[in-house]
Amino acid sequence: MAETIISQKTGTTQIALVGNPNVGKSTIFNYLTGLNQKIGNYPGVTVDKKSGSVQINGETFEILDLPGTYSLFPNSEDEIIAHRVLNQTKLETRPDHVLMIIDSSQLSRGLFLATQLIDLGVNLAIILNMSDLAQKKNIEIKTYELFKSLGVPILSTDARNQKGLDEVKKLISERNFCKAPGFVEIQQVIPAEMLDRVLEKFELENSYQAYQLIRFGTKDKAIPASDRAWLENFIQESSFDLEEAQLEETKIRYKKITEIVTRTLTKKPEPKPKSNLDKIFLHPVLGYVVFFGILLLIFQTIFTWASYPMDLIDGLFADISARISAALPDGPLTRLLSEGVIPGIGGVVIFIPQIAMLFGFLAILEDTGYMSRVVFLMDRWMRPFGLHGKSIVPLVSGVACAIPGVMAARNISNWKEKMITILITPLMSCSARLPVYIILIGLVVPDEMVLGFVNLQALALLGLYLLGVVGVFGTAFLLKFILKSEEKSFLLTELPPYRIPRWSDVGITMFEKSKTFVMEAGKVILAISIVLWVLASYGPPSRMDLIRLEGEARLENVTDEAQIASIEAETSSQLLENSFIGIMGRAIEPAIRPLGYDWKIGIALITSFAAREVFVSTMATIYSIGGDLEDELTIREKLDQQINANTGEKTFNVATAFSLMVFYAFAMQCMSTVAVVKRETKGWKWPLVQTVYMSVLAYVSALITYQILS
Amino acid sequence: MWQELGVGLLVFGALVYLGRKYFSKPKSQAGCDKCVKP
Repeated sequence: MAETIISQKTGTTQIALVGNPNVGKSTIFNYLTGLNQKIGNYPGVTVDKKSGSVQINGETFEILDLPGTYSLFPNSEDEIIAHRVLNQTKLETRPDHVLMIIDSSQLSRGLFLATQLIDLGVNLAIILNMSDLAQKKNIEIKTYELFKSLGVPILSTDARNQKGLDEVKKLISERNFCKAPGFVEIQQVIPAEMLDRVLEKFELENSYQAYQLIRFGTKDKAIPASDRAWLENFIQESSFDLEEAQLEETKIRYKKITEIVTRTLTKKPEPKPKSNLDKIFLHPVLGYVVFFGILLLIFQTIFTWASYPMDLIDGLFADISARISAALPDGPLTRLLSEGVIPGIGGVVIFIPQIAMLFGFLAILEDTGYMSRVVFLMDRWMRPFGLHGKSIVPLVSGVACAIPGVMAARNISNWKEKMITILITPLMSCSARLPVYIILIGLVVPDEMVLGFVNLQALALLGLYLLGVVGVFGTAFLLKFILKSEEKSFLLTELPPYRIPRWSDVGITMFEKSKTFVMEAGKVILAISIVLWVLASYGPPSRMDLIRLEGEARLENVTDEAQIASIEAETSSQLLENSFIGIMGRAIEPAIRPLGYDWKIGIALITSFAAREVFVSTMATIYSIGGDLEDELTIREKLDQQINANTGEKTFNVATAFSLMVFYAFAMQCMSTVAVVKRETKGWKWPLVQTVYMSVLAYVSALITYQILS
Repeated sequence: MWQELGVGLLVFGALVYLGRKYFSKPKSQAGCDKCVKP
């Protein structure tokens, strides 16, 4: 049946970690695997597949960290993955053992999934984690009694404080997992004849597998279309109410679980009342003040702290370029390496500090339990715009980079809310827009104070960020009426207890996210940098040769160094104008002239389609300035001197600069985001729709800005 | 000459990579219902 191969078996024993969200699964995964982790994708879907390896007594085990799920009744993409992996019926694609993690203070809820796994016939062991929390709540679990009731090995741990984890390793090493006898007799809710027919047709091992296939098989696109059609027909012929069966199963299962919990769990009254923090964090007014205060603090910290490592990285790559240029003989490969490849890699690496810091902060907010409060708090404000409380996470992430933001939208189970979130997230002003804003604001906005304490340039920058937010909610509001879906959504979120974050987990998150960014987006940016360098360095040979010859002829009788530099700069500029990319810039000039741009800005618009941050480096190249933000003054001075051949006025006046900034605030201009949206929506339709609507919005807004200000 | 060859190889590699990344068909058509409009 299911064709999806979850993991190619390599001979090592594979153990899947399963559990509800927020039960400390990742902490145990991180403890077991350390930095021996790899992130990939499940075939055909976009949810990250986290796996790692652990060596115990010289033997290697592969640990697979499955997305958190509450049951084998999947409701979101994450849950579908866990469902699919656990429902693998072919031995070669199924994990050898399953380690189920349960929050000791939420035993009934955890046992729901655990008993479903027992019915599925997996080799199971259970870890009762968060024993410290259970202790605080005066909960005591008789583990031996529980073991007798379920028939699978049970361990008690406090993973956050590293208690009981050696026992987990021992359990893995001894392969102390059991296939327990069934928990719920599924024939009670679905006719045995139906189960038997499916059992036989798909050669399954037990009735619960057959029930799962009947219930969810028709919706799982990993199953061959012919099998799905067969199941569809089979269900229609039987005219059996499967939803009713699911309800019945839930009732029976919970009844049996309640009996077990009554026998195995004792709870004394709690010694102290619940945390008072929620009175502040969930307060209808104070809650929002605290949230926006935290956001402000995070961004302020990111921008302040990140600038030091960014300057270091910038300097390092400039140095490498210079060294390569000096060490290798002059030629196209040397130039490609020093002007294309190395700055290309530098352009990726330079964003690592910001990305690592943002994800570090997000991990802290999540680990402390605060993020769940934010989702709850924002839900009512998001609804009028067709969004979900969970949309706040992608939007906040989008301020650093739209790529993780778009990926974070996968947690939203409602199709319409998820699509709106994906479509609007790139409108948030990401960090790649910052260099563009800084250079242009520096050119046209005076460095003066208003009202005695507000810097005018900072105010302009804040205005651009707010413009992004206005774009986000305005577009979401429109999309709410355009996208049609009958699906109803609700917010069902758990408010976990407040905890001190585990710093090792925060560190691992920062490392893993940065690694993923470099490996995923980095390769694309590097490849595009190479292609762009070629397009900017080569053109029709006849034209290029002529310009070079003319340049050489003009240099023949000149001895003044300043004059030589001027002629060389002019020749470079002409070569660029006649290069392939220059020809493209010229070609689009009529379309961008109404926005106040000339062909040189047109080149920057084309090159920065790959990535916005390319704008500054392109402008630097075009105006023959080898600079970056370190040479801000030089760049500003040179840009300030540019004259637009079409108008005879300064190229970068107030109208053009603001028109450009508004254009960049709304334009897609990020190939990696297009790629990620394609991946998340599984097709070209939505990324194309998004690129077109954002480009139109950017063009029209920039046009209006220019026409008003000029 | 070897420099031109190196440039050609790098550009070829970059184009092949971009082509495979953006235009090749996924190996599996597997997916979930939540990813297509219900």
